[in-house]
Amino acid sequence: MRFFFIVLLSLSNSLFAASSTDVVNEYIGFIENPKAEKIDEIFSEKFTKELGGKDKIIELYKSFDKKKRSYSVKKISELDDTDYVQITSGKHKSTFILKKDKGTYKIDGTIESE
Amino acid sequence: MKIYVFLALIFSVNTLLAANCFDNGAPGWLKGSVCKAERSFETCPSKDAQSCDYTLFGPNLCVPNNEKSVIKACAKKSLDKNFKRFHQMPSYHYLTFKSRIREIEKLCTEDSDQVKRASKCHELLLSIRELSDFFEDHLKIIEEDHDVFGPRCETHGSFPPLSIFSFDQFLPKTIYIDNPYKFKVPKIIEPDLKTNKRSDFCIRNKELIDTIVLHHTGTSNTESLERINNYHISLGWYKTGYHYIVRTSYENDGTLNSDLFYQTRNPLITGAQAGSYAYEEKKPTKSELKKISCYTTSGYPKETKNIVNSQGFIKANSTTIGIAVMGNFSPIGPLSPNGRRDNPTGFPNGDQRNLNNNTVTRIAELMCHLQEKYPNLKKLKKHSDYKESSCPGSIADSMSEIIKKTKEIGCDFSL
Repeated sequence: MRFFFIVLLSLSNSLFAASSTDVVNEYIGFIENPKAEKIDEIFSEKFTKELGGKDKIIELYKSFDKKKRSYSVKKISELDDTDYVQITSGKHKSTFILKKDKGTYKIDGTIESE
Repeated sequence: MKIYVFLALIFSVNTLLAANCFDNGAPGWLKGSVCKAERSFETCPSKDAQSCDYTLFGPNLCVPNNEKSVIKACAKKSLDKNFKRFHQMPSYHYLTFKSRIREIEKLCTEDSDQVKRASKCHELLLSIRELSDFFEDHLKIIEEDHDVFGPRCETHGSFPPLSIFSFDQFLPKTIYIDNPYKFKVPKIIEPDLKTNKRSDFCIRNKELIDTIVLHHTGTSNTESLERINNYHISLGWYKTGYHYIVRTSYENDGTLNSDLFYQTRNPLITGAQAGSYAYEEKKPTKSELKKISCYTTSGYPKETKNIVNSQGFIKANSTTIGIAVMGNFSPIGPLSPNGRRDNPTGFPNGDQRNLNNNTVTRIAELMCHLQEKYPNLKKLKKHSDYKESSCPGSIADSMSEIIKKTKEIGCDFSL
């Protein structure tokens, strides 16, 4: 019984915990509609600081060209508690570092792929 | 076959160490040679020994190579002259060979880390080959000078072949090389980065290296080397794909006080800077192909394949050195007007993030330093020359300036 409970718990955790690609999909939504309250869900504290703080992030993303476009999101590799997820939009690609923070993934930086 | 070569190296190194020849009071690089000569003196043909005032290896000493060919350079004056070359001119670079031998011994025989053993032993092996080449050149100078400065022997025997094994007896304790250029030699830090225990790696001879490929890391300019290394390992690579990473401030942003250079991969280990499917329009000869050898992580020789494509062109990663500037030099935005990739650490639309002038000079100095080590290194390219990529962002605009700077400080590159 206890075993089933553990299995159920771990299944529910994996079902409800946002995967790294989910977070990147959230990020894509954020590109289109930047909201300050979303920042903590998407970006790690460290990365938010690196980008100049919440206000700066909103300012940056509001300056984007709002043309509608399609994206594809793909996890390309992982190492320890970090996933590397690539967004492709047309010919353009960008790879994100997603680090597990208190059980959920958050964008912790960007990195060049090959 | 290669494993025998490897074992032979260890044997020769051990023999050299066992002889304990390097601390016998003789000056500089003569130390080892004198000792070797003394040990061989009894077998030196007396006629030749008497006819020589000095040999290359010390007073009245000859070293028999074999019965037909005896080394008798008798060139004390020319030797002195060359000592001056090595010791008195402003020196910028030295290699302590004895410590290298010790490293080899430790790594090749004691280190239980197979990856470390495999990679470092072979790096050191290649360093020895470099030393061998260097000395071959300089012994030629000694030979030429001998005609001018004498005294000479009745017969002037040829030097023995300087293969890696016979060469051991000529190895110096310390080599000083004069820096003929005007450039400052950059201080290069070698961080202790982990390697991928599941990845093979290939080693090439320095003659094959002909091009530098410029990158940016696509990260923040304060990113850690370990995180970049982790990412490249996650891609299945041996370790960081670039051979060098430069940490610097952007133009008009003095947050980092000075430029730092890191060697993140030994340049003799093939890198991952040009892309797996990028080939140079150059067909290597069979002998050139032999200058690349691949190994498993445990150090065993592995079949060297995919170095050329079906047309016979050589893989760009085999002939290039990767230098990455840490930072993101592409503009921010999902689809910015100039079509570069989206990246939240890029610079906002309308702004420009450039290399600062100081870094342009520092990169040129690094390039000149590398050209001195790898004489065929003469071209500078960017990552996007090999594959569709925004990399290295606005650094591409500074490449002409870098080339110009290399010429100013005494070396020669072209785009």
